[in-house]
Parts: sequence; C-alpha cells; structure tokens
Amino acid sequence: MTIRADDISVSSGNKVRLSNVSLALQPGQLVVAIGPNGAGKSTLLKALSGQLPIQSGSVTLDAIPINEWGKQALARRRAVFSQHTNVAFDFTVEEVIMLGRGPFSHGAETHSDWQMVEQIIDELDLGALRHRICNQLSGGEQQRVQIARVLVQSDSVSDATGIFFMDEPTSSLDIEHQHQVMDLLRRRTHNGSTVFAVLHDLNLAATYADEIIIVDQGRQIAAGAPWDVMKTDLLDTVFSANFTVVTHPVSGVPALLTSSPISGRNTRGVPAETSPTGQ
Amino acid sequence: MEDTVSERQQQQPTRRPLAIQFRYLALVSALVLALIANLAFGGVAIPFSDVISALMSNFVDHDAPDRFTLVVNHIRLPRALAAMLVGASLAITGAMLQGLFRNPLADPGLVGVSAGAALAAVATIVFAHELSKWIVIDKMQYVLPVAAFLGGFLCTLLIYRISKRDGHTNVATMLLAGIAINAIALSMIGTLTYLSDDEQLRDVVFWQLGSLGGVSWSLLLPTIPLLVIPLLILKWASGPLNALALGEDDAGNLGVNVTALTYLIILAVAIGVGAAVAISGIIGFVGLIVPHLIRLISGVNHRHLLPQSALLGSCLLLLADLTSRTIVVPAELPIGLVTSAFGGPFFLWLLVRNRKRLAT
Repeated sequence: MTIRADDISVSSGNKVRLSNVSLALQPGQLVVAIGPNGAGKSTLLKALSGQLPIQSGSVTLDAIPINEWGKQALARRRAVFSQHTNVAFDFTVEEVIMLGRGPFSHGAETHSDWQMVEQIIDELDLGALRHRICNQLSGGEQQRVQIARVLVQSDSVSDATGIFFMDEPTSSLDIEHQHQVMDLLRRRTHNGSTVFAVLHDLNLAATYADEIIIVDQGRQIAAGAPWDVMKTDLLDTVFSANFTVVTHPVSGVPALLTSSPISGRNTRGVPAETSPTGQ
Repeated sequence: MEDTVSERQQQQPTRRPLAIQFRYLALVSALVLALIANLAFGGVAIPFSDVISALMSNFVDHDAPDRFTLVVNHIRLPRALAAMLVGASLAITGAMLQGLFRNPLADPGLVGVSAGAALAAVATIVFAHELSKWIVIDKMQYVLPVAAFLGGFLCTLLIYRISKRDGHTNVATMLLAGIAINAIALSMIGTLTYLSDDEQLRDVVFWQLGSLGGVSWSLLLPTIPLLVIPLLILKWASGPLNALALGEDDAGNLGVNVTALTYLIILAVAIGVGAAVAISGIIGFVGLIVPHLIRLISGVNHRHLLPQSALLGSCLLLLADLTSRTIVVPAELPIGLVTSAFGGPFFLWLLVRNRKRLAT
C-alpha cells in the first residue's frame, strides 16, 4: 500500500470540498477519478498528494501521515502534474524536464539524470522540441513537456516505486498524444509505479484505468473496475446527461455514448420518422 | 530503427561543457583586464609593469614604496575592490530578485530597495548627532551598512507583499510600487538635505547619485563580509530558483521550501544591496542589465546565471568606475550617473523588445 486516505474531509471557508472520502492506492495501479466540474476531483488529488491541509481523517504515505513527510523526501516519493504551469524565463524544453530531477540531484546533473531525460524525450516524442524555448510552444506541447518533467521525478524508470498524481494530463492534447500519455502512464504502472489521475474524458478513463472513482459534490459515489462503475443510471445522475454504455468493439472496454438531456436523441431537430433510428 | 537511433544521437547535444567553461574563462579574463585597466588609468597613468609590481609589493616587504605603489595600493586598489564587490553584489542580487519575482524586470534599483537603503543611510548620517545621545556611535562605518540593510530589507518585504498575490507577481504593480517607493524615499532624502549642514550635504548628494569616490580601506573592510553574503548562498539558491520558475506550487511539489527560499533571498538582497549602498550610494541598473546579458549569452539556468552575473557585474562596474574617473578629468563623475546613462536606454530597449509579452 502506498497512499491511504481514511475518512478525509476538506473545506475552504464555509464550503465543503470533500467529505468522508476513503480510498487506497496500490502499487502498480492506475486509478482515475472522474466527475463533473467542481465535484472535488482536484481537491482530492491535492489532499492525497499532501498539498492541502485536511480538516478530518488522515492521509498516509507508506503508513506515515503525509504531513509528517519532509518536503524533499516527499518530492522523491511522489510527483504532481498540475494544470496551468507557465514557465518564467526562457528555459529550454530539456532544461524544464531536467527540473524534475531536482529532488534527486546534488548540484550538477549526473549521467543517470540525463539517461532518464533522454528516455522520456523519446517516449513522449519530444526530440524535435528539446532545444526550443518552453514558454514559446503551443499549449499542448507545453503540457507534454510538463508531463515529461513530472515523470522523471522518480527514483528510476526500471524498478519504479514512484507515485504520480496527474491532474487532467490530457486536457489540451490531440487524440494521438492523449493515447500516448495514457499508454505511458499505464506502462509505468506495469513497472510498479502508482498513478492517480483526474480525467474528463470518460472513454479514456474506461480504456486505461484499473480502478475508477466517481466523485460528485465532494463525495465518493462509486469506486471499482470500469465495467463495475460505468453504469448508465449512475452516470446519468452524476453528469446530468443521457448515457448509453456499449462494449468497445475492439478493446472490449466500456464505451460511452452521450446525448443531450434536454432534447433527447434528436439534438439536430431531425423528425423522428426520417431519422435512421426511427425507421 | 537503426537510423532513428543514430539520428537521435547526432541531434544530442554534447552538453557543451567546454562552451560553459569557455564562458567562465572569458569572463574571468575580462575581469582581470578590467581590474588592471582600472588600476592603471586615472588622474595619472601608471604603466602596467608598475601596477603589477605595486600589487606584488603587498606580499613582499618593501621598505620605501614609490609614488605609484602608494597610488595603486592606497587609493585605487580599495576603490577597485569596492567596485568589484559592489558590482558582483548588485548583479547577483538583481538576478536573485528576478528569480524570486519570476520576472526579469525586478531590479533592486527599480523596485526601490536601493532607495530605501539609501534613505536609511542618509537618515543615519543626518541624525547621527541626535542618535549619539542614545547609543554610542564611534564607528560610523559599522553603523551605516546595518542601517542601509534595514532600510533595504523593509522595502524588499514591502514590494514583495504588495506585488505578489496567490503566488503570482503582478508586474505592473511591482514596477508601479517601485516608482512609489523610489519617490517616497527620494523625497525624504531631499527633505533631509534641507536639515543637513554643508558637510552632511555632500554626503547626501553622494548617496543620491552613487559614487565610489569616498572608498578607503577603513570604509571598505567592514562591508566586505556583507557584500560577500549573496555570493555565498548562490550555490544553495540556484537549484530552488530554477524550480521556482515553474511557479510556487510546482516548486513546492519538487521539494522546495518556498517560504524559506523567499525569506533567504529577501534577506540576502537586503544585505547585499544595503552594504553596496552603504559604501557607494545608489548605483542603478547593474542588477537589471547584467543578468539580462548573461541570460542572452548563457541561458537562464541559475546555476550559471548567478556566478556569471557576479563576474560580469564586477567587470562592468570596474569599467564604469574607470569611465567616471577619466571622462571629465580632473573632476569626477558620480558612477551612478554613468550606469544610469547606459542603463536607462537599455531598460527602454528591454521594454520595447518585450512589448508583446508585457502587454498581456
């Protein structure tokens, strides 16, 4: 067991952000939290990664309360990808990725630091960008650089025990890179790493997650394997949309189709008699 | 597959360790040349060989020092050393402040740190008589740096509190608050000039314009440890400052204690700038220009930016001092006027160049 949350609640001001959530992250698992905007997914991620004080309950990392970890020790154990990172000054892509090795280095970069950077540049296909100025890249490119930076912040790749918290890592990526990133995260878990990700794309979640947690209004509504939690009625209530769950013809995972909750199936105003489904 | 691998290895940079070492070598050579030029030229030109032998005479017993030796060792050397240390201190504190604010326009002079330090120093001089009734001031050269440090510290803290919000620096607020602090401090210094007698007045003007003219060994020695402090923390601060470029949250997730780093930098800046102001008054723009040039030459990594800024700062202030001593011989121009004459246009150029980025 790596991270364990027992009955945690978080509030800021008068607003309750999380109430009575319990969960455990196992090594080698890719856990994905889904839920509507403002449900408390990011708050949960911050609480689990030790970035937020919690009002009640406890979060432990390796059985030690997470707020008792030293900053440096914590940084060697877990890495966090957060949105809205913009890099001050003209750091190159390579330099930004190397910042992820910071918690492990004493002064100059070592050969193994460079090996990890080379590997991630290769894995995320950043070779063509490596000497470019990071803050001059497109949003999606910068996001991939930050993901690379986060993924080198672990002991080593081969026998990884790293824990990666990823807050919407695919939000501004194109389809190719969404799969590239999720594939890479899953490969890391095969090596023994732990990944906790917040995703908005439910199909991506269903495709890659070992376990899915549905969060709504600060509460954990459901948790389990994709086929166990991706239920039409549950999703309909949580996301206020009309869901259809089918089996993905190729991968066999749940595939989710949605339609507007307001106008039903005929969102384009096509008369029911002439629409293909109506015949 | 074979092809892509070899292609990648070709693309791989060799990390250019030689290029980095070459930059250090070039900067150190430039510094040595600037030092020798600074010692050799002035009211009287002294041949290089005599400069060298005068410097050597500090290490071997010399029974009858000649005129050149006296000029070099007792007039020019303390002044050149002051220029080097002040230049290094201003440049490195500029680079650190910019790293802390995550903005290349945060210069100790522009944001009011130097003016705050100068105000405290001037107030100490003008009220020295009053102060001496309460505490014993027999060594002014020890009291001044401390007062200047306190003034600089309060201004740095103030500007940081005003312009930082939720971990983000508002550039406009920072620069405008700097204008306000500069205006307040300079108006108070102006007020103090009316309260001061003739002898004090000369000192006060010296603080406003910046000058190395008054430097002697007895004035310089107590401030050397203070000027060196920003140089001592550069090794420790460079890694965390790099991480801070990602923002406070991400730096925290990389294990950086952002609060501790912030106070360390503010303290180091206040000490370095305070000590610099105490012996040379307000010398503007060094902390702005030097780190900017190094970023253009060597990149933005603080591990190289900080030490190289210190070297180039030393070098440039030696040359500025030389200019101030030789341009209107036999009179002398305050060095602050020289740096501002070059720094002002440079600042404008920076603004025009970054117009797009600053507009957002």
